Amino acid sequence: MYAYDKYDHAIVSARVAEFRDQVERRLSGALSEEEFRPLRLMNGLYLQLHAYMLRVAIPYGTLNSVQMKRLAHIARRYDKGYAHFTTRQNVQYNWPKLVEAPDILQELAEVEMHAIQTSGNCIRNTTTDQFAGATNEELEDPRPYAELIRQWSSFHPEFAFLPRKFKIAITAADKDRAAIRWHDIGLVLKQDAASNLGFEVVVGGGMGRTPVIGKTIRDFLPKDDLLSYLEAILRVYNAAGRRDNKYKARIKILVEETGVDIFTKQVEDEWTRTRNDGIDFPAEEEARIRAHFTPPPLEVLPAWSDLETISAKDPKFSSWLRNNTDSHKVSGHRIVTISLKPHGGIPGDATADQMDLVAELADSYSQSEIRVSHEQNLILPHVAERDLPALYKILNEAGLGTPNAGLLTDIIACPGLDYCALANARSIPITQAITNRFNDIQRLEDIGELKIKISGCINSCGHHHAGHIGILGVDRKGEELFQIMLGGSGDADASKGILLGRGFPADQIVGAIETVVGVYMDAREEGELFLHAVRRLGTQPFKEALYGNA
Amino acid sequence: METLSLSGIVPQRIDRIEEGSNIAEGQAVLLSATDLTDFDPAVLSSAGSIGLMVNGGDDFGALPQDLEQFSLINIHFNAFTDGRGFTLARRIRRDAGFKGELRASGPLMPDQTQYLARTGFDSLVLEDTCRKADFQTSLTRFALFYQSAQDGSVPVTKLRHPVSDVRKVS
Amino acid sequence: MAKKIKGPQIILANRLDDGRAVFFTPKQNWSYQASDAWLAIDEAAQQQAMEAAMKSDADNTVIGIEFIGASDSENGPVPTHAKHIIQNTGPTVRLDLGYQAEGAGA
Ligand code: SF4
Repeated sequence: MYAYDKYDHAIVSARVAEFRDQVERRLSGALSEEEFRPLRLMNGLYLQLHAYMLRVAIPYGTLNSVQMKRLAHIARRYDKGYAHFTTRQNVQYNWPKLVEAPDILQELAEVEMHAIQTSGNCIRNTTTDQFAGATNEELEDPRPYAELIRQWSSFHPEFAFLPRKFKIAITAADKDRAAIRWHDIGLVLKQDAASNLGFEVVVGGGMGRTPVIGKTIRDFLPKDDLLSYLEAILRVYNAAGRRDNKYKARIKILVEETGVDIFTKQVEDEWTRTRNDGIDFPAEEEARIRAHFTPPPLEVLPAWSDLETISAKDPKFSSWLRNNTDSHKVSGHRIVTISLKPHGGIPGDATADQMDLVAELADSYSQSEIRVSHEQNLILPHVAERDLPALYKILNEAGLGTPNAGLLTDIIACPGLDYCALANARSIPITQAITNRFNDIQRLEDIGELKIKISGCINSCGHHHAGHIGILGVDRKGEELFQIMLGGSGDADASKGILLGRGFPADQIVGAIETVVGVYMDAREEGELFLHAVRRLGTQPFKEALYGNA
Repeated sequence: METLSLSGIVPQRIDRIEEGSNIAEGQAVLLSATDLTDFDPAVLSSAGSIGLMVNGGDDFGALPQDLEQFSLINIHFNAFTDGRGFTLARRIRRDAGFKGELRASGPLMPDQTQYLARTGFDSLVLEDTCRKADFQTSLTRFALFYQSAQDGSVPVTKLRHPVSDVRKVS
Repeated sequence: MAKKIKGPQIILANRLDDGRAVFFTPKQNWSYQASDAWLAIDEAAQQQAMEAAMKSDADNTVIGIEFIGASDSENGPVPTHAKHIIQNTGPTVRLDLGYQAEGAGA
């Protein structure tokens, strides 16, 4: 993975010093709260219901064991012994003190981490496939490009005060695990007829009040032109994006209002200038960065024959193996997903002890590497098959062995009204109610792949628009109600969920999910996944089952 | 009010003149594009030099032709959160090749001076001079940068690869 | 300020240094508990309470001062809205973690 050189260290340290100074000026009154707010947000510091919240970037979801241990240490020393992994490959602390925030940033900088641009109206942490560099499904490891973007976008002087936040995602695999079509810019690594590498450029996706699936504005952008092309998009957006209404300020609205053809022309026109501006990094720099992502020296092993025997004897292990491990590009290895979704637990939360344990396991079994997925799970990307039984045993004893990756209880949920100042309703208790009900693994496997995503308000941090079942919390005259939508997807075949009807109170939501699942189980064809069944059947049968024929 | 130098130049002395007021012989005057068309050309020609007052949100394509006729362009920011002025500055410098003084005004924050300098501004009108020291400190906050920018600073990619033939530089 | 609310109100803010939710009391200081809050029934009282609260804003100790709806109970004022109830109690899913769980000390 990427390692800072002296320049990266100097830049990140300068940022820590800057923020320390800003906090001091805020405390002394030299900066007003109005001025300080965007400054603290650009360092990932929010004010929530009970305390400040600090969002730390895990660039493109990759971290090593030393960094994970530091995150655990921060949770203990400055917080309440736990942290929350988010849908954007970030980690959040719920209880830091303003006065201690600069110290936390300092501790992060020491292990080459930061909270730069994790919030605010600027270019955010670039996200990518959590299996990057390990999966056999990708064209090339996309993370070097994400690192290029990280450097280009960090403290970009022109784009620090955009109309609204700006999120970029990259994938290099056909199976889109990064939901790139739901981002302001989505990039798909591709090969042209002559085997040159480049990107399909997708612009204007986003959730929120107006969910939009991104549109392709360029089928193939040579990879060497990536940054100058991004600069062109950002320049058009910064100049013309709406600033009169924060709900219309995302680039998706600009693209819709301008028309995708005209917008594309404007970008291409701007690019005729930016591409000659020395913005693209030299080939040596790309090579330098790529060298940091050399695949780890894994021994090519034959498929481990005992695996099946062990798995046949232990149904729990067998489920875990099926659901929580994926094929690796090096034979004899698997990619392991550690579920942060224990039934009845809080999605994405991990205690400091669990984080330390994962770091140790990464050292023992996964080349010291860890990944964070947008589905709020942790990944050990390089595990030898023969180590799987031992690893599973340890994970299971630490409450990290729930074999539910990709199943109904692998729910994405935002913090909701329990923490978030913008929330309308509580997402976490709903999640807990659902996972407590559907806690039988056999039943879950029978239901098959089913992604439930829950947001506590229309800002959609829980990605409800992209859930096979999406749940949105609303506030109806002080009562928390939950609306259900069906048929959303974040994959390559991205789609928006369709709202079924009026919302349900919290105590009826589990029953409603049972009903929806029941309709699917009755109507599904052999091997048909929930999403495909919804697409075939439409929402009508589900509506009838929930609301009757009226 | 005081004008802070961002690029090291000595800021020009210039007076903001509204339509209907007088221009003294040889006076350096700052006018908006509409003032410019409303003034009697004979009066204008008596001015020592003319600066153009624009808003950060103004459309670059709609600015007067031939920006070099102006000794100074002042971009006004409506709010410190309205970053359009940064892009406008970049375009005035890069695309129009403007060489004169580029000045920022409006309710900007101390922490923005380096961004201003890097997008091509030479000077900043300080609305509150009591924080002048903070404005100055932030001007040199970062010594290293990932991007090439309008201030001519050397990006770290160049430091990392001093002899690289950078693919594309105009 | 957000939309105008009707009926009895109390004043809520967050402390600048640690962000903790606090309520303005008739003793003109800030408490962790809504039950200590100054319940301002009519407009005159509300104006008086807000003016007093704003004075402590000038000391730069709290941020986001706002009125919230509340009702009276035998133990003192209680916020009306779910969000403010949660601010008064801590996260409902981790009551062990809120500042409230540390005891009511100042
Ligand atoms: S979706 Fe709404 S409630 Fe949930 S974290 Fe985002 S802003 Fe908060």
